[in-house]
Amino acid sequence: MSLKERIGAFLCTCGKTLGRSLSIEDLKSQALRLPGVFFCQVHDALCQEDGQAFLKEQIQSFHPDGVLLAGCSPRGHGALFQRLISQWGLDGEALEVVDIREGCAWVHADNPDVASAKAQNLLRMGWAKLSRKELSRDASIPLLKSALVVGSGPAGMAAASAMAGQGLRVYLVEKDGTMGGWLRRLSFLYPSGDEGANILQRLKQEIEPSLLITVFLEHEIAGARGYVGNFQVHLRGGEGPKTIRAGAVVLATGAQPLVPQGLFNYGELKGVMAQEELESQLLRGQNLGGTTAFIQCAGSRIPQRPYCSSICCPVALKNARLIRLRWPQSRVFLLYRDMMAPGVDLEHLYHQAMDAGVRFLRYSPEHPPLVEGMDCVQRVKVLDSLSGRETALEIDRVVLSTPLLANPQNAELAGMLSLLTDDYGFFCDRNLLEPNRTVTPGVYVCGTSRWPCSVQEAILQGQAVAASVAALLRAQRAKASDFGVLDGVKGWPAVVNESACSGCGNCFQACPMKAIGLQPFDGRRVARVNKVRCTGCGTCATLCSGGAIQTQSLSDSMAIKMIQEAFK
Amino acid sequence: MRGSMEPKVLIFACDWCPGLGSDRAGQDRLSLPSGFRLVRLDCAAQVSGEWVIKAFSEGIDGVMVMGCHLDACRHQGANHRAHKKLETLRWLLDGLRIEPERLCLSWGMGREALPFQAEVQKFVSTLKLLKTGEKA
Repeated sequence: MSLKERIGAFLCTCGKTLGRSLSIEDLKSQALRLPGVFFCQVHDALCQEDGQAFLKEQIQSFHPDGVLLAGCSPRGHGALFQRLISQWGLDGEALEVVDIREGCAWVHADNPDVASAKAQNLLRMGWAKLSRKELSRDASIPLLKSALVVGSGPAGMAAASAMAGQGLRVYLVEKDGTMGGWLRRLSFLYPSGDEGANILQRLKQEIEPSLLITVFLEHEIAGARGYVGNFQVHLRGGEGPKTIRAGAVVLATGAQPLVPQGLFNYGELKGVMAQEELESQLLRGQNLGGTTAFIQCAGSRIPQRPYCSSICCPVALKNARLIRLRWPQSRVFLLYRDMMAPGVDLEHLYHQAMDAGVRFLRYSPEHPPLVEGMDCVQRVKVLDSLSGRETALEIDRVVLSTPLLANPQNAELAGMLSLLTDDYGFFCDRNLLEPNRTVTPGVYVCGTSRWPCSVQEAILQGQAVAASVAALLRAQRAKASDFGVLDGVKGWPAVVNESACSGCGNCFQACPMKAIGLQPFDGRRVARVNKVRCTGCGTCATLCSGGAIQTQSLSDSMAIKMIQEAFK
Repeated sequence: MRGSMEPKVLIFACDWCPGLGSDRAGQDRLSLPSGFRLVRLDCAAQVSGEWVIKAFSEGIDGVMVMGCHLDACRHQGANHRAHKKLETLRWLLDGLRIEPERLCLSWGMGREALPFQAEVQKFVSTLKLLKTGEKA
């Protein structure tokens, strides 16, 4: 449906201030000369309550098909006006806001003649765009009441059991032969001191008896198609390939600690170990008496890996204290750069470690500790940056606190599901308000696949994701336009004119959102746009030689007409 | 008509970065060259070569395409593709006897008021330096 016929124009003077640099009268007569514009009203502040009431009264008495509104920038009150007119029975898209304030009156305040002429051009450009706009027909999509969780660490298990608790069908995919992820290898957990095995057991007890949860052990994701509410995920492994249909996908792929190869003589001297190896020695109950030195920030907070992995300080504090308490004759040194123990619990843990007799020595990155020995580690030389003295510690073992690295499979998953990863391979969340959602609607992320975090935080995130997924899949169907892709603003999907499409596939190849497919139509194949995935970037439209695919926010005919009106 | 006092500039601006910069320039009451018109886009990738050529054929002196930083596109790298495409177009413009400098691509510069102003002013002075009128 085109909006040529009945357009209502409104001019907002922004509390009469625009009248100082623009001629509002000229603008009004210009508006009334535009084909299709059948009334034009001037108001001082359409964004205020009385202005909104005025707008409502005018729209409901004259019933325009489209509204042309000149005033402040569409970034200012555009969303508000769009919402209002859709409440009053018009399509929210049948609105064009023309910026005659920021981009005109205010930047050309010194030259009223120029500003007035430009405002008239801008109004004509807005009219050109509005009158050629085709209103999109929204798509209704079914929502499957099921979710697929990738990874069965604490985050994935917590998400799975909480989603089953909400009545959703859950498929839990694990690449190993048993559930638990890194939780299987942890001795005691900070800050509570619970045994890792205990927590794992309790998480498993919620999953194994549940009739709603199916666990696929030794399976991996081979591919994924579809969109929110309707994903088809292909699995490989086990007894052969399978396809799971799920309404949402939860990524809990976890992370893994850096193996400190080449750092502090790791792999050369016996007795130099990574923190994870100490964890398994604690699990096995090995004797850890004697002298232990922990070295923090081994491989993190350096130029090529500048981030703080956030869990290493608390883990080292917990293990250092544990050794001191279990073997009272032992000596424990903790060599750190900055002690990262924020919050009530971790600060308490820090004090507990001090009280238990752990000795803290601060080193600077310019003078890292030197680990020495023949075959076996014998001493660590460290320049204490607080006292300025060099100390040589006679020791039996060195424990390196290494950072968590993103799961290397994240990149492959990101490619399949059009996700973003950060510089280090962790999944990016969408924005501050939606921290457990990814940029793809219906795909969620929790635990250390998002960023290094403790078991407690991973469980919290898993449960938060479950709440979000349950809210998403509560209804039977949803509108494609509900899935705001960009900061809450839904881009307008591209539309295909099937009879003009030659099926060349240029758009299909170029689409950055993987929103275009080739579908049979009238005995041939033509492009088809997935309205949920499409964000309206327009890449496809610029590559289509026949003009068969167009973005609705600015089609070729709208743009060409705007260009013609720009300097008329 | 080319060669008048103030060059006619058409700016295609992604609403996420330069669209914001344009608003901020207004809010800071910066003064901008009077001959520019701004078209807001969902992404700079919407700009097709056809539009640019059409703008020149309508007598517009310069076309500016402003988008977000090349690695910070909200449409997953769509602006990167747009850059490649429009660079190719610039090469074609030469064949049409339109100085390639009349097409300006600006990525990631337009989010704040002052850089937005600087980009527009720089382009306008480039256009003023170009020979006026059609090439023989």
